[in-house]
Amino acid sequence: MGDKRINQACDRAITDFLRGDRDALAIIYDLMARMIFSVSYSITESYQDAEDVLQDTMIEITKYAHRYRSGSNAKAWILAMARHLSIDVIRKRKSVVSADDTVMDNTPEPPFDLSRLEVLDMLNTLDEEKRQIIVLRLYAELPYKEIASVMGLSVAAAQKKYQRAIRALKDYFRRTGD
Amino acid sequence: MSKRKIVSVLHQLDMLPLPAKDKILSACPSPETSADEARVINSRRPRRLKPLFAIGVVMILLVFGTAVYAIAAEAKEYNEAVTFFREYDLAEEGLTRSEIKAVYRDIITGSFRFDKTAEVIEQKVTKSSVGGYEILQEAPTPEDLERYWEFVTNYEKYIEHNPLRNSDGVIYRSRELTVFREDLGLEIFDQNVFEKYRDGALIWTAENIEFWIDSYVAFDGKVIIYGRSPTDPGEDDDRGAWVALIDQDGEVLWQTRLNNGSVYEDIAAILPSDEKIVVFSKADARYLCMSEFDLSGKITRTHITEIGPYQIGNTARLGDGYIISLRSEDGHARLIKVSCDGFITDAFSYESNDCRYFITDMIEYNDKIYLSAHSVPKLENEERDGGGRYEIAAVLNYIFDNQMTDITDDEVTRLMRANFSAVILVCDPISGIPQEFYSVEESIGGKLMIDESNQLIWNVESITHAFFSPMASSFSISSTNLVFRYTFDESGALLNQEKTKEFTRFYR
Repeated sequence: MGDKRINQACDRAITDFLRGDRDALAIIYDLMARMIFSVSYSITESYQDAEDVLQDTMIEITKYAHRYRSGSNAKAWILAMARHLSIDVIRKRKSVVSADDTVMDNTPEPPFDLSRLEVLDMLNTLDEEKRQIIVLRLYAELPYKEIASVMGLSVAAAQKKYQRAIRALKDYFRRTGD
Repeated sequence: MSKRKIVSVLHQLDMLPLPAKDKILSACPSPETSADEARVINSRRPRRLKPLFAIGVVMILLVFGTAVYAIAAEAKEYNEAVTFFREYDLAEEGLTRSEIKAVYRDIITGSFRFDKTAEVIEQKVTKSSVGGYEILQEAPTPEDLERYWEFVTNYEKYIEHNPLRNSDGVIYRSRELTVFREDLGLEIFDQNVFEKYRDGALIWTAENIEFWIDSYVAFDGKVIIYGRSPTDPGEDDDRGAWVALIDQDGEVLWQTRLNNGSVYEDIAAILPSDEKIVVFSKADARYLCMSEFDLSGKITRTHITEIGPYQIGNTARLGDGYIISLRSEDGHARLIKVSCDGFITDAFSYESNDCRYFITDMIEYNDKIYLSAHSVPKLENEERDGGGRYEIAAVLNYIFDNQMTDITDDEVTRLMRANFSAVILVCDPISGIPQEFYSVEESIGGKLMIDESNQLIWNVESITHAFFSPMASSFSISSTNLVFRYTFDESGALLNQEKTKEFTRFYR
């Protein structure tokens, strides 16, 4: 489905949800869950955390649907929430580690062998900000204007950072001989 | 490695299994009621305390019977103005009560008083962001640097002595003819002529031109020449702007001085069409003048608007009207929309939080306006603007702050490349607001052209070598730039990138 149609469908679903239609949430899930999960996974690098972020993003949508301005970019609005929640997860994770360095790793195993995916190696060559920009631009296909808004940057800064990220990936592929 | 490869790798993320939908949705709360929604919407309605307060004030004044009518009218207009500002999200900050009313009057009557109204409208547009795509461009290679040195060594060969030359074998040349005055014993000025050559052969000569020719615009076999009064240096208190139409056989059909009541006027742009010739000029260093002629030379329309110290840059048609780039003394670009009868109807400046844009060329293509420009980072201290050379101020500040007046050319080149990004803005044909842009790092925006296949060509000048010249009076930094040529189709999609062997020079 094209970006415009996703936006329109999400826009309509948020409005319907506000009018009391609970099924509208399922529509939002169908349209956006994959993107929320992937964006979150690329930030948190954890299957379990991405799952939590997906859950929390859906809850946040219900909580803040009344603040959504109909006609604006619904996809960017939802992904901005997913990004904030993912960053919160990382912050919490850091504070837990600093408080107690001997954290038990009791994370459930993901139902998939993630080590097979080259995307993780590729994204791991980038710092957190570059990784987000690359995923938002090339995976979620957000325009710079929306990326700038989601990440709290100017459009020009988003562009420049994206370009630097592309260069870093170019170096990565050169090193790996691809 | 292409972007497609990165995208393809990124889409491996789609292979990650999603958690169960029911599990996720079951944790979500039920929707709020529509009543709640209505409550929220109501709470977002703008407050109207100021208008109520103003009305209250007017009522009190009525009761006490002092200056009843005038004050009520003033308050009513002010209220209307404030309501209008809020309705259209215009910024009231920094404006006095009378200025708010004046801007409101300007907008609703269309009699645009530029200095304040443009700023208010411009602020609104500046808030909107520009989307865009980047183009990766190769950095200078050793071969490019070799070619640069050849360019520098043979620079004289590259210099274009005659500005009235075009590229398809046709050359236009202006000359001043002199006669020998025996009583004075010297040659004196006789007349100006304008000549057309094709492949070196003279085609025609247009004689008895009454003014000094600055430039020309060729269209439909005819040529419009323009320039200024033939006054001697020092007589700058009367320097009128002149324009003439020459037919395909070299006959001067008409020539006239613009009649905008000015004593000092320069023509900035001429836009000819099948029916009329529109001339934009700057008069007495303060006024934007639009003069419209029919093809017989009869003036059909004029309009004068005060624009202050702005210089007129490029001009293009925009729907029924025009779009004009203005440049402030520090090079800051501002665009204005002008209606077909000469009124300024909108003003835009392209700014982001951390960049300033400088427009270098403008062209109408496929009913859209394309702007070639470059951006530089905004200065932390706007007052340190390199003596009005904002584009290179960051580089100059770095050099002076670090007392590096002996800075190497390599270092200046690196600083210049980090400072500049070329951009192409694509404006909406109706509103003039940019819809998208392409950018190229470490470069300067160059000329825009339309080729024979009706494709848009954008020259991007990649900064190849730069040097600092503290002793030169006319510039502080010069760069030599390798030209890359980008081709776009009618939909604005990038079709091709060509690395040329051409160089340009940039002085600031």
